[in-house]
Amino acid sequence: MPSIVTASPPAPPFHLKAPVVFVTGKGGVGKTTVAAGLAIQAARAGQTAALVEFDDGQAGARALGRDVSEIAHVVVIYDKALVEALASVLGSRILARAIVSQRAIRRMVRAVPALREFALLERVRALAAEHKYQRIVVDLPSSGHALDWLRVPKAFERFLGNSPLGNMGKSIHREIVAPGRAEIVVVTLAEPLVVKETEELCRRMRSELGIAPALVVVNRTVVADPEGAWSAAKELSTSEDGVGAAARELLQIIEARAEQAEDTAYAFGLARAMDAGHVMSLPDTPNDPVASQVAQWLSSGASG
Amino acid sequence: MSKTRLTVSVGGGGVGKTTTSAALALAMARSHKRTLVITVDPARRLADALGAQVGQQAVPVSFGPDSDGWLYARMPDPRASLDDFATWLFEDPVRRKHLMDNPAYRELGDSLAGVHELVTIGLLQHEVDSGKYDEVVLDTAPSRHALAFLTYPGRLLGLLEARSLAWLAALAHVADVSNLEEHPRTGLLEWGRSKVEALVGKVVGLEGLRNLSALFGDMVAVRERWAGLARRTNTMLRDPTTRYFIIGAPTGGAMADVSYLANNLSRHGLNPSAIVLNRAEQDAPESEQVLRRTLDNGGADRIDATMRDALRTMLQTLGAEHTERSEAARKACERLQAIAPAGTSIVRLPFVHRNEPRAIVVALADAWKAAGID
Repeated sequence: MPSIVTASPPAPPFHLKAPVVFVTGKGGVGKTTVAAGLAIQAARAGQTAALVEFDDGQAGARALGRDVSEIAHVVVIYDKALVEALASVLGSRILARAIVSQRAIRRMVRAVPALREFALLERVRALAAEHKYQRIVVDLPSSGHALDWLRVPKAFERFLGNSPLGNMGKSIHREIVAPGRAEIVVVTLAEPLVVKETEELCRRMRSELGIAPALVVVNRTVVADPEGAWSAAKELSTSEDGVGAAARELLQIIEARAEQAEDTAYAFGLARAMDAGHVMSLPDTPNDPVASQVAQWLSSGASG
Repeated sequence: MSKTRLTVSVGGGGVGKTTTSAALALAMARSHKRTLVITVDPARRLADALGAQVGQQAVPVSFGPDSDGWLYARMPDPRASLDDFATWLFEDPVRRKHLMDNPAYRELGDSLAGVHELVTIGLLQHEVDSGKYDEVVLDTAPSRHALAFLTYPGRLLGLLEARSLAWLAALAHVADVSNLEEHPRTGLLEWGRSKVEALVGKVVGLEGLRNLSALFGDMVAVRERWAGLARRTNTMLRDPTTRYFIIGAPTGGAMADVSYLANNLSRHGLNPSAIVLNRAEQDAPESEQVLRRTLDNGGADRIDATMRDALRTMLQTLGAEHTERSEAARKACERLQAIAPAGTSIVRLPFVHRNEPRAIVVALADAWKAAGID
């Protein structure tokens, strides 16, 4: 019979240390909810906390639901971020606006790769430098894109050297990307394709940034099915009647579910192999959990 | 030869878009249409789902005799593809080397963020132009990135517009203060322009400006070729035969993405051909009902009581899940009716209770065919 993996022992409570926490993972794994949960958890531990989001802020708002009072929800918009970044180089917002309102520059700004990521990360750096929040949780885009984002400041530094923008790239990297300054939380699911992508993400993170994830969250894990069910279905599946046929179909379903439990174990093993600081699982619920619920799960450190 | 039809699938993360797109391609290949599926996403999901090592070029994918020879997949590696694209763009090898040696190209190209759209346009057009396929399915990156791709040809055309590019290419010249003194400019407008130029130089430094400017200079040289490509892609994306499928799933986040994408498509003057609800659970399958009835009627007495109890618990758990999920699917369908613009069909694809990606692709291909889309 397939090996049924029982729920892992409760993980020890974990503590994130760096002021900036980047949350990423494959799309649709519950990244935003975990990010919001981490921010709320920090707030409940007595820290001032902010959830930073780059899109239009809808995803964060949905994850937070009514839990907005405990943390700040910061939505960073590209156009404004770019003006702010230029203003800090030029020492004047008026001059910065003059540059971006120039026709050709405006067109370049809309079409040139990486500038958007650079400006948005600079806003995170500036926010961290203000020391207004003790914990800044950043909801990054999904896996591949997230790594590309984090490599942008260094690329600007190399390419623009000792110019103001090059130095800005250097500061961003030093202050919010370099090991020790930021921690990365990777969210994954117990599904083969997702685990595979997580593995690739962790590998690239190590080779390209020299960073191991501080925390791996295996989201939406299911409780293992009762052990006897497989044997029962197996036993019934040998008969030639309709019951046998039904049992054979059920067997396939049970086996697929057992594989999911194996995938959870695999994700845990993977996280340890990648030197993740902590790994934990969160339970599957019929409806999307709210961030305050996730914060509670994170605090208990318990596995699903 | 008939024209290649393009199907663009867009959707939020985690809805099974890649698997669904691969399944659509398989369904079309089984109907003996020469089909290519391209994924824009950098992750290696499609390769895994198809059980194929998909690399640079389109490779044949095997799913059995009824589709073999008809199905191809291409999953570009963006890093290598940018060089491929530059090779296509720059026919003059000297110019090409000049570009590729530019630190601006090396660093920004390598940092990848935002490069995907650029690369995708190039290879998509290339595959469509090849005339090798009846159908091309483009699996875009999740959610809002997908729309960035749709608008990229337009944005690129904006940048490639002659005056802007020439101005950017000339920046390095004026950033050098000595040049500015030699060629004093007159008039308020000119004064304003040179002021902006000087400011740009101040931000990125003279060296950076020279590199950037050289990059734009190279772009001037291939402007027509590049703009031609962007224009053709723009036309193709707006061609009436091009189909847009929005893929969703019955979760709050995915439904919000569907609504967002539908709105944005219509803002670009495009309508989705179909909104697809993936993982739409039906009622408990017949097999589970048969087993429940058997247990309730005291059948299955050849297995012992403990096993019967375990089986009963299992079936109850599954039953509760089916109920919850089919209720979620029903609500999602209702919401989709409200979201879908007139003329957009709603396609329900089942929740496939399998773990292996290939099995899911096969099951979903059957579902596409059953829905009349193949």
